[in-house]
This record gives sequence, C-alpha cells and structure tokens, in this order.
Amino acid sequence: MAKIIIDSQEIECRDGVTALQAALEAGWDVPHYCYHPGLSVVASCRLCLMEMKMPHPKTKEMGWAPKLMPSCQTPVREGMEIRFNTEKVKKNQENCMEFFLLNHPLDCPVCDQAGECHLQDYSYKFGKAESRMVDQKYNNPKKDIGPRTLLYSDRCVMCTRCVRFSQEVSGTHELSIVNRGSRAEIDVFPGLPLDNPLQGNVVDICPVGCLLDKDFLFQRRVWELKRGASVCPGCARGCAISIDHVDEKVYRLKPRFNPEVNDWWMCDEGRYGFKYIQDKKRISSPLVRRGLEHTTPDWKDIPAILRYRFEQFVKEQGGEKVVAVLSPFMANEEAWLLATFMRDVAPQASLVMGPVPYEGEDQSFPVKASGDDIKFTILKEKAPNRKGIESLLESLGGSTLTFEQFIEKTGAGDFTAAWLVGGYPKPWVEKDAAKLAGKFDLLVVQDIFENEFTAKADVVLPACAWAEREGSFTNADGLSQPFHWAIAPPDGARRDGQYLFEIVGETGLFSAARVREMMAKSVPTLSKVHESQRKPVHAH
Amino acid sequence: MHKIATRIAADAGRLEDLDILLETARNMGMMPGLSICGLPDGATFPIETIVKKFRSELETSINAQPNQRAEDLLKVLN
Repeated sequence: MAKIIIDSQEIECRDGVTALQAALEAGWDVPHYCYHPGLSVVASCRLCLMEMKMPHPKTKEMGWAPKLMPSCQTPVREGMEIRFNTEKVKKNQENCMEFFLLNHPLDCPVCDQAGECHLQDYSYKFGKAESRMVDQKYNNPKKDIGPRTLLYSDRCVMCTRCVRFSQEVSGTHELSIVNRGSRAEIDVFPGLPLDNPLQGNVVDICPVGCLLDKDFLFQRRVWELKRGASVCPGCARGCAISIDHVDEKVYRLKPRFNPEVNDWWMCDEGRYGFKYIQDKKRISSPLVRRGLEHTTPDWKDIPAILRYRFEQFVKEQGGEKVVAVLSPFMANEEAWLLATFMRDVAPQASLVMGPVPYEGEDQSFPVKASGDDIKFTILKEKAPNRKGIESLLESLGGSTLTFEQFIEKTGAGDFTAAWLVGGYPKPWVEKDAAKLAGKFDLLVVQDIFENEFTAKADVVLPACAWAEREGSFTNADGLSQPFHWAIAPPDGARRDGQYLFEIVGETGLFSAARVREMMAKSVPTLSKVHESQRKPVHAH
Repeated sequence: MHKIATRIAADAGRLEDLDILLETARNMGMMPGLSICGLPDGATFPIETIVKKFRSELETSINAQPNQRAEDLLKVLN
C-alpha cells in the first residue's frame, strides 16, 4: 500500500498501479479515453495529464514540473505528489476536449451512446461550452465491420481501445488504424470482418458511440434502462454480468468486473443468449391433467396439489419408485428445496443430475496463448450450475444417479413417479429420454419450453429463466455466485423458488439468502456465496 | 489549423481566426513534449511563428478581403 498525495489530500493506494488508477479508485473523476485497466497503456489521448512534483534538474529541489505528465503512464511511488485541480491541467482538459470534438458530428439525438457517452460527460465537466469550429468537418464513413457490430468512424476519437483489445485480449487482430493524422480511422481488413467470440466487448469499451451493437441499435435510450446484477448462465464459467432492462423486458447484457472469473469481459454467446426469455413459445401457465381434461389451478393451491399427489403415490407404490431430475440450470437454493421436498415425502427417492449440454471445445483467449497468458476462457460445458447440483447430491447422499442411469432404470420400470426439471434454452430431450415419457404414472415437469415430457405430464409447471429468478450458481471452479432477478416472470408463471419454498412447508416470500441459511446444516459448501471483495476497478 | 489557414489564404478569414490559430498551436504543444511524439511540434511551430511575427500582414490581408466573403462562406458550410 503506497501513500500518495493528490490535490493536497493523502490517500492510500495499491502498489504498482498507475497514478490515474489510484486517483480513480480514491474517487477523483479524471477524464481519460485510451486508458483501460485491462489493456496496455498507450497514453495517446492526453486527457489525463496531471501536474507532478519532480526534482529540479539543476537544484534537485522538488517543485511542480512545468510539463504535465500523463497519469495513466506514471506508476505510483511512495510520497508522490500530484495535482489535478490547477489552471494548467484544466486548460489542457478543455483544449483536448476541443480537439476531440473538432470533427465530431452532432449526433447525440440519434446516437446510442447518449446517456453513457464520455464525450458528453467530459465535455460537460471539463470541456468548453461552445465550439469554435466553423469550417467543414471531415465526414468519415459509417462502416459495417462484422455480423454484430457497426463502426461509425465520424464519431471515433481514436482512443485505440478496440484495436488493443483485438490484439491483446482476443488475439485475433482484426481491427487496425488506417490513414494518418486527422484522417485516421479504425478499420478491418477487407474480407476479414470483426468476428471473434469476444467481439461484443469492443462495444462496451468504446467510450463514444463509434462501435455499436447491431442488436441494441436504436432499441432503447440508456437512461430508461435499469441495471441488475446477475451471473451469466451460458456456460459453467459464471461470468458476472449486469442485466439492462425496463418494462419487464431485457434489452442487453453487459459484463461486470469480477477479478476471479471474467475480469471486465464476457463472450458473445452469453451476451446475446437471452433472447429465449422473450420467446412466445414459452410455457405460460401451470397445467394439471386428469385423464383427457386439464385445468389451470390457482398458484396458491399448487404446492398442496403436488404434495397430495406425491403422498398418494408413495402410499400406493412406495417411495423407491420416486425420482427427481435436477437440471444444471437450477439455482442451488431451488434444487435444495426440491430435493428436501422429495426426501421428505419419500426418503428413498432418487435424485438425478440432469443432462449437461456440451458444445464443442473450451476456447481460450488470446487465441494462441497458453498458461498464465490466457485472459479469458469460454467453456464447452453450457450449463451454469452442474458443480452446484453435484455438490448438493454429494452432501445429501442417499440414492443419487447420473442421467444415463436414470434412463436405464426408468426403461426397466424402476421409476414410475418423477419430477423433471428442465429450464434449458435449447431442446434437451434426446430420443432415449423421449421414449420414457409414457412410463410414468405420476409425472411433474417444470420447464420453459414444451417437449415430449410436457406433452405427457400430469402436472406442467412453467419454469422461469435465470433473469426472473433469484439464487446462486456454482461455476466450474467451485465458486458460488449469487444472482438476482431483474424482470418479473411472464403472466401466469411464478418464480420457481417461491412455490418450491411453499411446497417444503415454509410460508412467506422466498429469498435466496434465507434458504441459504436453511441449507447451512445439510450442505455447508453451498450456503456461502462469494461476492468479489475488491472494489470494482474503474473502467468505463 | 489547416482548415483555418486555407480559409485565410482563400480570403475568407476573420480576425478571430488568428487568435484561434495561435491558441490551437499553443495547445498542441504547451511546451515541446506535451504530446506523445514530436510531430505536433513540427506542425505548430511554423504557424505560431508566422502568426506572431507577421501578424500585421495577416490582419491587413484579412481586412482587404472582399466584403462579406467570410460570412457567406461560413453560412454555406453551416
């Protein structure tokens, strides 16, 4: 921990950081464009310049150096003194802002970045009120550089963050600077579009509205969006994300800083993988079948109906014929509640780990890196909570099976009552499993989309997507991270945790924290969740 | 700077343009070394010296422009 003096105030900061990082973490708003804690330092924008005390070359006395130093490139040293609140620094900030805006089009009314744009924010705080540019501005073209991104070169401030990202983090080198001087632009090589699995991050790090997400283009103004913290369910990595939503609709996902898992980044699969939440084909209401008829009972009766049905079944056929399939898309708390109910009603009931989808291979970035140089990995295991369900099954003990064993045993007639949990965004019922749908005398299916099991089920419960639920996922490294709901479940559905909470016999509102306290005795490993302790390293 | 200089050369400059030129030139290199490399110094020093040393000549040429030329041109551009 080094002690430095900024604007005559002494602050403590971490060792080895740059002066800019120390100032930002201590609460100073120092304007900067090209600096990003996850990328190399270039000091090209010159907006973060500060005054620093340095020894006079002749007398060796410490005095304020007449030349301003870039704070993003100066590492902190014990006892360093710097200033941001002087005339010189302010004049420099004003003049740099003027240069940035010289050729900038007046696009705020149509620009997606309005509201989270650093040109807007810094002009307001540090810039000049009026523009003196009366000549014609250079009109750089708007480009379509990839299947999911647009590049509006007239808005670019040449901070080169996107270029450095494609060189250092994704390792794919698609973006580069072409032309020189005031005609410089960012561009891709003709025929090689910006198409790597991490490319959505360049839209996040672009401080202005130059790199745009085609998916989010013109969808909504950012100040209308509300932001909720969550964890991505795309793969077992469990990247920390934020969900931007309003009016019960999710508009976009952005990464959150998490030094243990994903730093500042997230992959495209997770970023764009929320569309299924809005799919019209989702199961929208609960269903109870009796013979050829079906009814839609009230949600307050459903826990009682389910308990009655299972208790009846156990009386008639015995508890060892009962099985529950826990999907790796369930939260730890929900799975625990369901397992507790099952074992309560039928202590010999079997618990099964649901099928875990695998796609392709693990991908690590930068593309040719290995070992410590790897900055980001996309795992091939495309479910968020296999590890959590596995730990749960281990701790609870009793009869636990793999999905293959479940298929075998059901085929042989060993199980005739089942509660299947799905929640997969893609179709998950394979042929061998589909054949079993008719084998159950009592089948409860909790899923998002219809499939062969829901068609034959006695009770169908609409499951909710992760953005509508609360709980925690345990990632592939064993880290349990909490996630919170952002939007309400669709009309007719209810949060899975709520009715599972009621079925276990509790009353009141389901809260993941409360269930974790209840879990502490039987499953201590899952009852503690990890929240990143390090302050979010400032990066915009 | 290039745009302003071309405009002055085309007889459409204004008196404020000289001040803008000077200030812009100073901002690019408040002292030699404020920017990341030496190129801006090469761009700003000629402008600074010309405007400083030959200011009266520049002012005379601006005042001798056909009337309204600057305002007309700027109206078209904006």
